[in-house]
Amino acid sequence: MALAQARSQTRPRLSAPTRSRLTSIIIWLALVGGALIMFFPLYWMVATTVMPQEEAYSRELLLAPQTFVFDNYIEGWTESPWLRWYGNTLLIVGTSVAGLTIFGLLSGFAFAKYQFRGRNLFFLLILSTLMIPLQVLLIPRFLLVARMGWVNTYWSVIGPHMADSFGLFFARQFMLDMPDELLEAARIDGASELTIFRKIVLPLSKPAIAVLIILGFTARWNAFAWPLVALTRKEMFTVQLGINFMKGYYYSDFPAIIAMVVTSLVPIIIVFLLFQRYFIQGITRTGIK
Amino acid sequence: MALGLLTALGLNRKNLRGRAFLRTIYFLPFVISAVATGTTAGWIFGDSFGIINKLLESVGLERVRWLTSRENAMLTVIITTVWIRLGFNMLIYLAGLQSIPNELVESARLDGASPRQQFWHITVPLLKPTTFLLLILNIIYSFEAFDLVFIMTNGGPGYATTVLTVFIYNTAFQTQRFGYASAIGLVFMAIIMSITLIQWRLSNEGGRI
Repeated sequence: MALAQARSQTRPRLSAPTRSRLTSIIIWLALVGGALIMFFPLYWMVATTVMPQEEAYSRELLLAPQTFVFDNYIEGWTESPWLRWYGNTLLIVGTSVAGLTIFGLLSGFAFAKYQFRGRNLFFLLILSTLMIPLQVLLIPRFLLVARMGWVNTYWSVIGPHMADSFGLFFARQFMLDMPDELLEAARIDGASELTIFRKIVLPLSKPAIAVLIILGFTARWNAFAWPLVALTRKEMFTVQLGINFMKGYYYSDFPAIIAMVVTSLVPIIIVFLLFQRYFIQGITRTGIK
Repeated sequence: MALGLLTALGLNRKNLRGRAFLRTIYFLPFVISAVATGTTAGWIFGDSFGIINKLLESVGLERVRWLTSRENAMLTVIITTVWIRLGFNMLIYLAGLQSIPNELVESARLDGASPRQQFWHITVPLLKPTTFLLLILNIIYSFEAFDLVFIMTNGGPGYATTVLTVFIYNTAFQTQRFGYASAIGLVFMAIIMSITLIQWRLSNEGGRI
């Protein structure tokens, strides 16, 4: 912006509309340039995986693959039990997102619409857990899970995220805006509390449910630190752990590793592109990842 | 953060061509897992086959040991972090910019304020809460950075990029000193908590963020 203005001020003879056009064009070019830089690593990621090894490891500068091959994908996929790893991840992500959404909605409803003793205290307590960094929890949580005999089980990863304070917080904030009169009217008509929740609150919460599912899916799919601690047997790995494992064992074979990285990004990028609106809503509403 | 603001300012222009598309590109890195980013960064910043070094060489500059020298490793991690976080900062700034009432800018313009004056006297002060929130979130994020550092350098070379969280992890799960690691963890938590508390205090004074 400052640069654009400096440029336009050095040409005082231009008329005002021309100058603002010029500024617009310069800003646009800067943004597109920035976007190209931002996008280049992603492009290069994909480009690497469709090159033959000789091209990836050539000394010359090649900005695009000269021949297209899919060897890297085949090699990467067959080198490790990816099918199993994807299965593990889907199971873990599916269960935790379902738990997070259901418990988030139920408890969010209670905190938003019911009066009970100690409500604010409990809410603050739950909210304050959002401030505790995950890395600090790794050790106590590991010791706890180990005592319960959960290490290397799906539950070790699913359990701690079944109910998530972020889910509760988000659902509550959303439900606070619902008019009390609506619930009251249903009560007078003799609807039970559960019916009210199912027939009135749930349909009205659709946007919040979408945000919860999408943010939950992204967070669980990308999770690394806790699964790294809790799952040590190869057949229990998630996709992210699988990439880390491959990186340790086949460290010289970057094209094949990155082929598996690209594969792991496909679901996330599809979800992101389809539901971008909800992502942005979720993030700008809470300021929390 | 400065880059995030610049991008947001640019993208906030209404009649910009391809605005939604550009926003998507800037935001995309944020949804990619740190494992994926870190692994790819290891390839892109590679000493002999990394594309960055090849590009540098092709324009006649010297190769740089991005990840294998003590001096540069941290810088490389930071560059990668900026790549990840830029879109997030941009998004929060965009939300902040859109909450500035149009009439305010309009009336300043009618009073003869130059674009530069409009920026420094209206946009910057009104964005202060946003800037502050982002500052805190970014500080916390940097403190908590684990995945990316673990994947990219695992704290090396030597201890050049050993951030607190990587140190905690290695102490507990590599050398099995759980007690010591937990103690560091508690101190770490105290730091994070105090930063968050400061944020709460200050933001409540200046009205809700």
